[in-house]
Amino acid sequence: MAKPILTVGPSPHIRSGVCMTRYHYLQVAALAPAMLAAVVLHGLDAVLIFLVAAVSAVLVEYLAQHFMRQPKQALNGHALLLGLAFAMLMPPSVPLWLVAFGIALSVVVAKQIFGGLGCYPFHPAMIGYLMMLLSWPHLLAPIGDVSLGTACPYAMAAGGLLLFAFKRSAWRIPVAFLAGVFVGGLIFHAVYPGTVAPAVQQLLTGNVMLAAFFLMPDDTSSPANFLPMLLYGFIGGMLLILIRVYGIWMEAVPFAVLLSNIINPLLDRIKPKPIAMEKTHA
Amino acid sequence: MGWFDGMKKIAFSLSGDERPFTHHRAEEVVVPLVSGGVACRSGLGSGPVDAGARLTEEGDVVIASPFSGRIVTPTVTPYPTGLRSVPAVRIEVDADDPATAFDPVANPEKAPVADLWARLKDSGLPSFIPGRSLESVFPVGGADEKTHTLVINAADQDLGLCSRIQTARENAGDLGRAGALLQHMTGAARVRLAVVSGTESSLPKEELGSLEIAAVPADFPQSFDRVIKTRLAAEGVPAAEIRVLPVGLALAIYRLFSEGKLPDSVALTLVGRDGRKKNVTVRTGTPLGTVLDAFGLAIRDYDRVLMGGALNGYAQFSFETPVVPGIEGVTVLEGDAKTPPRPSPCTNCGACVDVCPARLQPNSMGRYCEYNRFEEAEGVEYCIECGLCSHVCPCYRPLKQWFVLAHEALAGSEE
Repeated sequence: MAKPILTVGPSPHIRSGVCMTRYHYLQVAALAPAMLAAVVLHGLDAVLIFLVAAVSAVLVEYLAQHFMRQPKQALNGHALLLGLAFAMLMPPSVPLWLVAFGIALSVVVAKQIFGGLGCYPFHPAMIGYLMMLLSWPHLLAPIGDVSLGTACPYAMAAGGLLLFAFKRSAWRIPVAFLAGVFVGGLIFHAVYPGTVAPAVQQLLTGNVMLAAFFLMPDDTSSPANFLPMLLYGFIGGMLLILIRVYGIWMEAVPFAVLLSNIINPLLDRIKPKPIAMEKTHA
Repeated sequence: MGWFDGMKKIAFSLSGDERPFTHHRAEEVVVPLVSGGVACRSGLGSGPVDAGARLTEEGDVVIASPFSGRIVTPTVTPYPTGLRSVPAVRIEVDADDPATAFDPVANPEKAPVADLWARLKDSGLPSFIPGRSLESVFPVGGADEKTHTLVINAADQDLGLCSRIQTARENAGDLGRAGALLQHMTGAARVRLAVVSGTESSLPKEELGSLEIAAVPADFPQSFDRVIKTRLAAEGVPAAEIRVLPVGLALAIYRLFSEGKLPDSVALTLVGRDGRKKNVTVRTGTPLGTVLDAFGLAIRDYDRVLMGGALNGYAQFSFETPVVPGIEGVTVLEGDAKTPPRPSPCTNCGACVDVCPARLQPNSMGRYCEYNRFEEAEGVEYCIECGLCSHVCPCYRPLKQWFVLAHEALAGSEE
């Protein structure tokens, strides 16, 4: 009798089953309520923006990986998530070419050039958004218009809370970020009661929920240790309020996220003392 | 592998199952000529061989036959840890093999310590210590080195295995005497028997003599030697004076003196692809295929057959690989023909940081070790190679293998 063919591989031979692709698509699903709210509020404009964003993100990532001879990972959900997060920051009146162009820059310049998923220092969608904002401010931040992500902060938060059930550490950065916004709001509302909105209103306006649940916790550009995650979130929240109070741009989220990304590597140096196991090569 | 698995705290319970041993004695065994993980040359042709006869001798290394019988042929064999081909001898064991290699020592607990150590080293028994040398358990030949606490580790090391605790249950009397002998040989103030918490009551305490039972938490990897040492050191025992040895080795040393035997059998927990478990003992050197056939473990194409447990076992590619002391189980995992996912760069998700029992940063250590920058991998010397980081990694990074590599590289650079 022929012996069976055996599979070999490195230990451990059982895996937890948690995989990156699955978690990315889960995040996309968590964005669905907010996307639905945007579609209800803005109609066909929102549908088209999401569609263009999703298709261009995946397509550009595929092409970039093809020409850079990297392993093809365009379908691992990260490109899709990045495209949709970018779309959330767009006003409904934005021209579609700008969405596609912004995403192309996000994917190529801010993500793939650095080596792709796991290697970029800043959230790519934020880099792409700021390049667009500085180039065409009148198209991206027209007076009196709001972005798709602000359609319903409750829907955004509901989707984000869903993520808490799937990853043990998922609550840390969002909760700390919202706490940062809240505390910052309390402080600055007390200092400038006439011009700065109260804390609760700070939480519910703009893209705070998008930042808290989807932009700040981006794995690659955020810390991995317990305390650094809390600090990172809290500092991000405080920065958001500072930029809202003293900044000139209407949308503070991208700046707050990028500034927090800068301190991420420093924060991850705060780590617990290892349990002093007997050394291997003592 | 459900959707919610990311939410669970990783807590693998170690088994303490009570499953009596079934014995199997193969007629033909393959004794690999490997000591301390290093292969030795063979200098023997076919012919009769006595138990205790030297199969090879290189410097300090002595490898002796645990059986009397006939060397069918010098050969090569795959080795459980993954070596493709090491020198070996194939032995047809005599039907009436008494396996007595040496004259027993009448009262080993009272014999001069130096004699016992000399005899131990000369017998060839140390070559049966898996992957290690006698010095790694007892520095500088034992007698000269001060030992405060000696721990006989009967807590199983991997998921589903229960061969160590069953060995302790069925050999409690010998184990008690082994404890007394090792106390005599090392001058230890205390000798303790480490078992997984919850199994203490199943041990016949009156037979264990002066052995004190010490329970370790039933969570993987709390039963690892280095974790036990760390716990004892935290209790105030000087870390350099703690020796931990597996229950099989303690019994082997005792039987070398009391019965004149080399380790002629290996205790295994067999875990089938349906998850059913069986405790068995087989002759040292029994080929894997013989073990599987003898106990009716079904294997299909693309299954993984592991020597050891599901977390840290070695995947086997051949049914010819012999079972050697130190292997404590054979686990069959159902497999399929799919290509395993390839590793991708670390996304810094923090799953490994959350799960590390030594509170290390496997994410950043892995990034350094991936490019052989072992010196910069901060904390890697405290890694106990439990493999939980690789278990949870969503990017399928071979973190454990990198850290093992780092340990070898760092040990090499210090010599």
